[in-house]
Amino acid sequence: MNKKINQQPKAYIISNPSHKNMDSTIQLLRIIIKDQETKIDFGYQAGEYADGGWIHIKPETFIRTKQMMETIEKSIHPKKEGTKYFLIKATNIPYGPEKLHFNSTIEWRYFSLHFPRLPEGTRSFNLIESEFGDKDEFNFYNIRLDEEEKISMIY
Amino acid sequence: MPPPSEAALRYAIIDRCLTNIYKPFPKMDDLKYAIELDLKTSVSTATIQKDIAQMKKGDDEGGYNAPIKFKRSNQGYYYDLEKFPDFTIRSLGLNEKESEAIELAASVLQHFKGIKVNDSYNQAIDKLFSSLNIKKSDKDKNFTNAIQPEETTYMRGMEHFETLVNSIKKKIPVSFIHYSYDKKLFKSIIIHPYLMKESNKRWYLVGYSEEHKEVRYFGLDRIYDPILIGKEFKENSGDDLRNLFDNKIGLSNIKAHNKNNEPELITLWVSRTMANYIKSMPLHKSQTYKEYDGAGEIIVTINVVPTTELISMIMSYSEHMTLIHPKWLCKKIEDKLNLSLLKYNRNLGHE
Repeated sequence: MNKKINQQPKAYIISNPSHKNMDSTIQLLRIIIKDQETKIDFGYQAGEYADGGWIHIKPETFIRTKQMMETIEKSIHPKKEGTKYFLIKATNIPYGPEKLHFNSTIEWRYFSLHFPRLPEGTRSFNLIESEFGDKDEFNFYNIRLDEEEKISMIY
Repeated sequence: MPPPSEAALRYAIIDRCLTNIYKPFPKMDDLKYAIELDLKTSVSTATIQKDIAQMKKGDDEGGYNAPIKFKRSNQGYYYDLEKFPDFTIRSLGLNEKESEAIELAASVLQHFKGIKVNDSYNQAIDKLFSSLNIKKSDKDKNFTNAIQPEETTYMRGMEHFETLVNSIKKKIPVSFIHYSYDKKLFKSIIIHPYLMKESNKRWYLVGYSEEHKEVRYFGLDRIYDPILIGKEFKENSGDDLRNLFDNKIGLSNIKAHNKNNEPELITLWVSRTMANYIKSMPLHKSQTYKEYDGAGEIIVTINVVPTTELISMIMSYSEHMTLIHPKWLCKKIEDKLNLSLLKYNRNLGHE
């Protein structure tokens, strides 16, 4: 009997994933997909506002997959409606309404958002802090999980 | 098989008790008390008996061939020094001078304990001290206090030191997030790590950066969340590293004026006050000097790639050192001094 071998690495990273966002002060840097979670690393540079302004992340933030389906004809196309996966943990950034206030415009913050592990076969997703939000919201679109960009992690 | 680390510490304490001429024939309770006091943990009599049995075993069984005997009249243990004069498991065949040299090195290592490289390092230092029996006697305390290297302060990122050194040893590429103080930008970097370099009390990870397509160095204080990754390792040619560090004071090239990073002849005037210091500890291995006026002032020449650290070094000597050549670098220092003077004038209300 032929067994189907799953060649997807168990844990992998994508460095500098391709994506779109509206705010230049925040950078989506890396995605880490591990056993139970999808961790997304960000860098934020204060500077747009006097005294550096503030940041937080809304607890209702989610990622929504644009999962691809393999049809009977073996062609691939995106599903119309993706699945939502809500934020389960935030590292180095407070949940709103609490705020992290910067003291000056030269400060920065490295932080991570943790979501449930995305299903195998996910090719891209959106990260939404607020649907139809403005540029102050942490919204990222079409974050790519291209196969050729995946690098396995060594524990 | 080597003894486990906790046991090795107990062996060292038992050995210390057995060689203490002021309290010969230590009883089992004495050994227990000494071990518990040193290791701050309770230990059973059975464990100590096993330790003694293990110490008596030969090298091939992980022991020390220790000639431990039990004297009934004293109800205590001792080394049979008639057959093995001066026996101690610490001796390791070292003579007194060699032992002192090791103790000296250990006491220097002790000063790095505060930088929190990792717990294993601190434990290793404790173990080394314990097995060399350094920490207990007042005489040895004086000895370790006699060496005072510059204080090493904790630097952010040192918690990654062990992970990064392991990646270098095992030749495993690393993914990490880097923040540039100058550009005020983050980058996700994949590096093929070659070495850890210290410069001006800061540690740097040096390796081939896939992002930059060349060998680069990254300050540990700007590295976040390093992860070892499964990628084929890119070896370095050796030239890459030599080009990075040779002929330099510090690390940070002033690229705008020296795009090829070629060494330049740097000529400096040094006052008679500082001349002897510069003669006795050259600024760089390429340093040569000649007398300037017969009154003690000297002209120093070094052949280095101009770096920001070179500028800082020159400026740190204040009125005792003046750059003569190259002129473009003189101008750079003059600009910095003018700016600094302006700020002092403002500060003192001389505008």
